[in-house]
Amino acid sequence: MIASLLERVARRAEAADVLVTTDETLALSLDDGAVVSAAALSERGTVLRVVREGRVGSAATSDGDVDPLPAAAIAAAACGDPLPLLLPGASPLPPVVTHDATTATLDVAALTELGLRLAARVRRDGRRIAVHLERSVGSVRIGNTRGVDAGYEASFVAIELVVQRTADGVIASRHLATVDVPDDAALDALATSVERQLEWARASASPPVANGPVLLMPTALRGVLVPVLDALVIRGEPSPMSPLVEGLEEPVLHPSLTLRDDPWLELRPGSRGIDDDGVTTWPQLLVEDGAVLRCAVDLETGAAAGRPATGHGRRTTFGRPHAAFSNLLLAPGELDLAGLISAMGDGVLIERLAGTAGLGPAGALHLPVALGYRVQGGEVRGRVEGAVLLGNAFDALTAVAAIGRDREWVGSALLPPLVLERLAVAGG
Amino acid sequence: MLDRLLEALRHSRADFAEIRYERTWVSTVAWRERRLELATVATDAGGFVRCLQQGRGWGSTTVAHADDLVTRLSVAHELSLATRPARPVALAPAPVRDGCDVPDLGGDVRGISLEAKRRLVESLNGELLGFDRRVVDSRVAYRDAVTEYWYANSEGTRMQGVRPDVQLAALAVARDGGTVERALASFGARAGWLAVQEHEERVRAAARQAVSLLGAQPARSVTCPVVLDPRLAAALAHEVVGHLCEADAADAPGGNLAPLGAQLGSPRLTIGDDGSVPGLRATFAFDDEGTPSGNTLLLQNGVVVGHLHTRETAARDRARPTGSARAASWRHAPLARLGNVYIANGSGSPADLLREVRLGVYACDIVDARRDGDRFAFTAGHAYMIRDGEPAELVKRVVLAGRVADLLGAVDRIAGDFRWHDDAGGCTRGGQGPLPIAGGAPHVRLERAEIRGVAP
Repeated sequence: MIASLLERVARRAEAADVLVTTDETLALSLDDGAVVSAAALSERGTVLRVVREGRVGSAATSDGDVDPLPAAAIAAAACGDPLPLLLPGASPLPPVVTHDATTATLDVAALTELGLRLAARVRRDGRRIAVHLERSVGSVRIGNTRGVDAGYEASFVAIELVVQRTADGVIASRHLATVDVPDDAALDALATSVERQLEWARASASPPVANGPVLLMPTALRGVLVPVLDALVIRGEPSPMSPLVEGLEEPVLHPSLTLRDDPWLELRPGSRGIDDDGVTTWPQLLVEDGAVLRCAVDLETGAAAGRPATGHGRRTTFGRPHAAFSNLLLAPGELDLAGLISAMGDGVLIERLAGTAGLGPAGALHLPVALGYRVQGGEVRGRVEGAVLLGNAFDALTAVAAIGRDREWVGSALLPPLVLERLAVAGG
Repeated sequence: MLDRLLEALRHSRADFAEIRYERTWVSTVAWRERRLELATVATDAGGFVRCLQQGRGWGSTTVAHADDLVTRLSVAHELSLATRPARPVALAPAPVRDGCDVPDLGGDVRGISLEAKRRLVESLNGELLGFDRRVVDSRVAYRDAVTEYWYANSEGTRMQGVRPDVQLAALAVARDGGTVERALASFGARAGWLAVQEHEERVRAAARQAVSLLGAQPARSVTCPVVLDPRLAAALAHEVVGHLCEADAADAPGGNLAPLGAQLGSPRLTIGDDGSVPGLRATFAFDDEGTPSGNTLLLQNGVVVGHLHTRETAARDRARPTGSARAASWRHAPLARLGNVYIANGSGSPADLLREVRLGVYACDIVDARRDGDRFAFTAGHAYMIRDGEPAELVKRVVLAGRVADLLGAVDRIAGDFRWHDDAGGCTRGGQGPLPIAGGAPHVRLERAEIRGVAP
């Protein structure tokens, strides 16, 4: 179908590419050990992009009928701006493992059994336990008029464990995403994390009155990193909001921060050998010792900015092309979690933030804390309710007091806990 | 298409089966700074199938192609048989309905060229960048959609209709030295091309707001009287009261459903959800289970008097379906969702509410609204200090936070200037969203509320 579409536009366009994605997902919800709902979801998307008279246009469909796409894409190109878009040529793909055959065979019974094994690990009187499981298999295929004809199969397992302690209403949760079927060690880690959250939240405490250090667990750190990761993606002209300047030798973040993007990691959901623009991927150092070495850019934005694409192109069927990271790895420190808490002395430990919508311009943070704890005398004293994290993400990441040793995957980011000094926690 | 759905349903062996099928035409134009970022057209088509066997839970599938309806109904039935819920799903009885909803498309966007849409967005972007030299970044996005919609179930109900939607959003970023501020304006309607004309002043207001914030001081943390403008008040009604009244909210751990009869707030507060107000973004003749929409009172004089129901929750709670079963697209099952949420009108003018406040905050616009259990945090777009009954200096970084009960109990006066808003608001819940919503409210005064600013 890709070849046929390319052939249909060959005489009317200088260049074209076609991206076809498929996905088959099986989703189950377990409530207190019983399957309460089951769904089988499938989707296929086709995007045709053409370059005609130096202008770019695209059209997409989730329908099986792709016949209208060539005319629609060429009409879109007619109203586009001139753009010197050069589609990539074919090149050998790196051998990246994105698919696991066992995952692809997980059926309702196997997923149920996986969910029950996880629920059994945290089952206690006075708890309500929900487990949501998804198994996806899919494919990405891209072809263009310069000879690219490549793709990969992908598999994915996602598990969310949510436990509510009925006595005080405290909710603990953890999420896991992998390419292969999670083993007992992975399930143990989920359960251990949830138990720790519930234990630390047993008592209530007030946040300190004065500003003090804030220990961000990996899930919370992911939220605070949003402005920084946004600034590491080129979307047009350099953003006036970003203090991160690529290529400066001096650090603009704390010298202890080193961030890498690795699309070649085995069995990670963010991995891929080719991006959605048809550009071959490669591991890249983004931030080294606090200095920004490289920003990510997709093919179209790069063409507008006069920069080569970095292999980070993402194109959903109905969204705009953009750059997105694959697997982000923040370098670990040396202290374990107990050591971090002890070294922090007095402050607030934040497990989860309530979303990232409270991110302001230039890195300003006003993020409600979904689950956080007061730390006093180097020990966790109890949960802090109704607090708001305030400060500036860029500024805070210039004042790193300590980095933890034990990293966790949060989506496609492998992050350590981090102690930051220039954040404040208000209320409670 | 309706005939194909009905024919497929005849093959289902499930006790109950339903199919919702949609075909959507979408066009999008996005401008960023001085560059056209996107001009594209797309078609999105597919269906959602649900089956229910007595004593079991829902089995669901999506259908990418209408040719697969019978097969996917069979899969959905098998999935329903695989469930073992402690409390089996039942459905409230519903009369068999046969309906058609084709509103005035107000200039069908499918007949407007992409070039014309580009010119509209380019012009609005020019309004932003030309407003003031301190406006250094801009984004303007236009999106339109027309959805053809078909629904049928094994009880014989059949519905079809057309659902138009247009959205405009403009973001202005202003900079002065090291200070950067931004402001957003948006518009959304269940309408067509005619509705997105003449929004230049709305866009200029965003630029004006971003520039004004450059000179504003961050708010200080303070507990004082707070007057909410109608936009912020409507967000409060949606987030703090509305979500507590979605009847399926109790299904997940941590979900809170306000019990009927509970005194949730001030006796001055009456809140409802009306899916039948003409022209609003969450207005539909019928919901995604075929139930007609209507006005549901949620809070009357501070007391919980109603919940929003699907057929499933209505059966569970021995209530009636309220026409609130909505899905974000054909990829999702319907949930009990908020639509056009309002605070009932009071009396007097906004000036009357300010006049009695010696020192307070007049909080305007909404950037973010969150509730977590019995706590909430709202971030206002901007605010003014109130001094001796008059709005005074502009302040920014205003977070209104505290306990839900304290907030709702603190409402001491409601003005008589009710209005519905026409911004392109959306709500995300259960992984579905943003679902188009609308809100309406008058000015609302809180006798005492906690402002959390950056400054202590």
